Amino acid sequence: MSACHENQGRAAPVLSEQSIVLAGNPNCGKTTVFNLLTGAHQQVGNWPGVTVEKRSGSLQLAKKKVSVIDLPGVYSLMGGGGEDQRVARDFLLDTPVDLIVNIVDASNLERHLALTAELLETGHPMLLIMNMTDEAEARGWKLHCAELENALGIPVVPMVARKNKGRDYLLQRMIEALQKKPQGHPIVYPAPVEEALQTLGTAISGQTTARTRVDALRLLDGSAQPSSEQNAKILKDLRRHIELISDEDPADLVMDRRFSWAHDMAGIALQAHGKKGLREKINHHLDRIVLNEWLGVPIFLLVLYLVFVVSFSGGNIFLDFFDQASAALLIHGTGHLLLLAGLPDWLISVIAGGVGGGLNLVISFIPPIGLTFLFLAFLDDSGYMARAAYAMDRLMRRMGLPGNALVPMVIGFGCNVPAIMGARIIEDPRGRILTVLMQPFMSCSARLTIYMAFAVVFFRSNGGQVVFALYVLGILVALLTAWLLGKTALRGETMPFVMELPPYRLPSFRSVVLQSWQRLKVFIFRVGKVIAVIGLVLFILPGIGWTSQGLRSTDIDHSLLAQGSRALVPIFAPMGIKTDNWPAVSGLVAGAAAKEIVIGTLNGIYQRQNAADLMADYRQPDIIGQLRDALLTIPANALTFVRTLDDPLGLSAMTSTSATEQASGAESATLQAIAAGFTPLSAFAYLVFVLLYVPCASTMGALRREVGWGWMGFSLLYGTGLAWGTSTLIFQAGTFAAHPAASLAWIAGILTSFGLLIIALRIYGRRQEASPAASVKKQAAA
Amino acid sequence: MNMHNLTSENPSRSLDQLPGAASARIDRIAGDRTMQQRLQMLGIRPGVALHIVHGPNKRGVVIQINGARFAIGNSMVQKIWVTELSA
Repeated sequence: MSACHENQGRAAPVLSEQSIVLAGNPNCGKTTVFNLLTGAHQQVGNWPGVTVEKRSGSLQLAKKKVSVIDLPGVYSLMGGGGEDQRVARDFLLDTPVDLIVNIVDASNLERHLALTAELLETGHPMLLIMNMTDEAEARGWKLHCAELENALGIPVVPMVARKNKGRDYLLQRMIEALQKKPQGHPIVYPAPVEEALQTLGTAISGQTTARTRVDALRLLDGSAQPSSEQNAKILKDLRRHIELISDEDPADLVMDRRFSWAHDMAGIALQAHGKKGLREKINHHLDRIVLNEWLGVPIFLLVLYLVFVVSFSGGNIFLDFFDQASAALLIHGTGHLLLLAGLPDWLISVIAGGVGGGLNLVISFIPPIGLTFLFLAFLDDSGYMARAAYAMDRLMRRMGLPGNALVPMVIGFGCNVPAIMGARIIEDPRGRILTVLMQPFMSCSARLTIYMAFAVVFFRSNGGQVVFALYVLGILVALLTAWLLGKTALRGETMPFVMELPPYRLPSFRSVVLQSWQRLKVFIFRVGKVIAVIGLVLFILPGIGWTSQGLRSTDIDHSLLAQGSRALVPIFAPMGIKTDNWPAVSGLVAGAAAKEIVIGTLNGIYQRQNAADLMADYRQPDIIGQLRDALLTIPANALTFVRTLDDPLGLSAMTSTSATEQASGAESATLQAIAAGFTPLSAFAYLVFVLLYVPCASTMGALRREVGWGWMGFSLLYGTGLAWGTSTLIFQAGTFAAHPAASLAWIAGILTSFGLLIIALRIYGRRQEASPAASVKKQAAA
Repeated sequence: MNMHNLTSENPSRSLDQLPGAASARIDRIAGDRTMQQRLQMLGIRPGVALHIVHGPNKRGVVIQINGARFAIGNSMVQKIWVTELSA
């Protein structure tokens, strides 16, 4: 509570810029309104998507800059819900804002208005957006905004934010509200409650009248605890008094009043009008299929499969164009210009080959990754994800997880960091730790770049399937991890599943494109930056090494990098990495910091090994010709895409060693080097290692923040051990015929270690149970 | 909305014992206070009328209250006590 004073103190100097905060239940379209208001002017935090932290943007209102804050959805200011709702609640109660814009779903008005009742009590100026009026009308209701406006005492704006309807009117009413500061008519409670609020209010002195009233209400309905012994006694007496005269629990009195208020207000705003519309019927029929007892899970897997296969194959149409065109401009073009400028050869290699080459690799993966983001954003907005969570609930529950753990997992396909934060939507602490620990195995977009590079070389005809297989493997390992920990170290009950299923909506083109563009932007900038820097470092590092005369410039095969990586190769030998393929090990070591670097590292080294060829290119570049060739790959690849549509799915090509296939499509030096260093089997084992080991430094940071050092350390060791074990199992099983005895020894060793791990976790779990469980039992007995 | 026309004395039973597509009124919700609070925030509370949209089955049940649909897992379904309303 003392934070309130600090906030007011801090906020005072910046009040020259007015601030608007968006508040509402989950699924009321807050983020859509936020996007509509701020457009591209947003400071995207870590990751957009399911909002679990507040985000801010800005807006021009009557020629003045106004800041707009988007909060996570919250059902009530009183309490309950996950960590995300706490963020919103604390902000709304403690921060002085110029206007609260409360967004309600008109098709579900009564429930959404319960929050409005609480917001009115905070005493901030308010404006109400009745969003999704089209859906309310489709349900056969007629809206009476003017009547509601009179009853509430604050402006009411009807909108269909998804279709960009009502924006101008909203802006006009917001300008008005910022000047007039309408505070509305808060609820009046039954007399005994009002008297109690007065008495409590004088006891908990300080702050504003509105804030005091909210605090008193929270004490009375039991969602906050009294701060002192004296207040506790006052509260106890007041409660008893109310129970005596009204024969009801004060918490129930407060709740009943709020709900009946919401019911009355909804009655004023909506009147039943015609029949239920087509939309209701579509909803009903879709739910019958999607929620079907037997079809639910297969449908979810099919949807995910289609997302990745279509993204990969569709992206393939443009991949070569992006690759070759950016290579022509960034590598050859830049190299030629630098040569004309008279720079020395080594510097040209660093800039054009190192930085340009690194960027070239990132750019070539924009089509498939952009498409993946586009499909995921579409799913997010369509209302399907909540159904998928319900469909998967029983399966997840068997793994010891709540069904809504699925939401962070899907976010994890984009990036593990927001996924770990997204686990805040899970209310019980045990489920949240399990969900957080699963996230590093969800295959993120940075890992996708590595799969893509390898898939282009080894699995060109069925890359979608290989990538899908890796994603599924990641999901399986994540579920297995949760199951294992739930049975051993983190035993306990899973909270029952209760989740709102939003109606199906055809997502707006604008919202989906904006959302996926923001993700892609973060991806390009973050990855691009890292790869450019690493490309530079790795262009220098392989140039120096220890010789008999000390540290000298050497060729790459005698460099520090080579010496260090070669020393580590024996560790990776069982999973099929040969000594001369030491750059692959360098990639993995660098990749522990960020997965984006793996390909950048390989690029830095391989480009240097091929530096001589590139210099010739810089002298006589044929940029126009290369761009024309690049453009021609689009129709050619489109034709392949169409032809392979009827190609039956299969993973057979994974084990094929045909050299022709390897070389096909390997345009750049890096891809050719990959082709030479791996077999399809060792490439797959390498990708499995990349999938499972330490995700990146940022993920580790997020893990530490959400579950602490201990679990972070466990995740690091467990993930890396599991990565090595699984890749070795795959490679040894695949090459079993060549050396049965050695393979058998490796496989037996790995399985034994895994068994030992399970026993150790079980012992840890028993010890943990012994201490807190005993105290719980004592409490139950008392 | 006008589902309060009880024609006969229906017994109170847990939600999972209702037939599919039935309508009912919530009598009480068993379980701990956190769970009751969580359901209350969603508008699932004693006195409100609900309609079964899907199930009940092994997975749980999907209900509709006014405009909103909720999926409720099996372990929770048994704790919601309702009286069936005749249509």
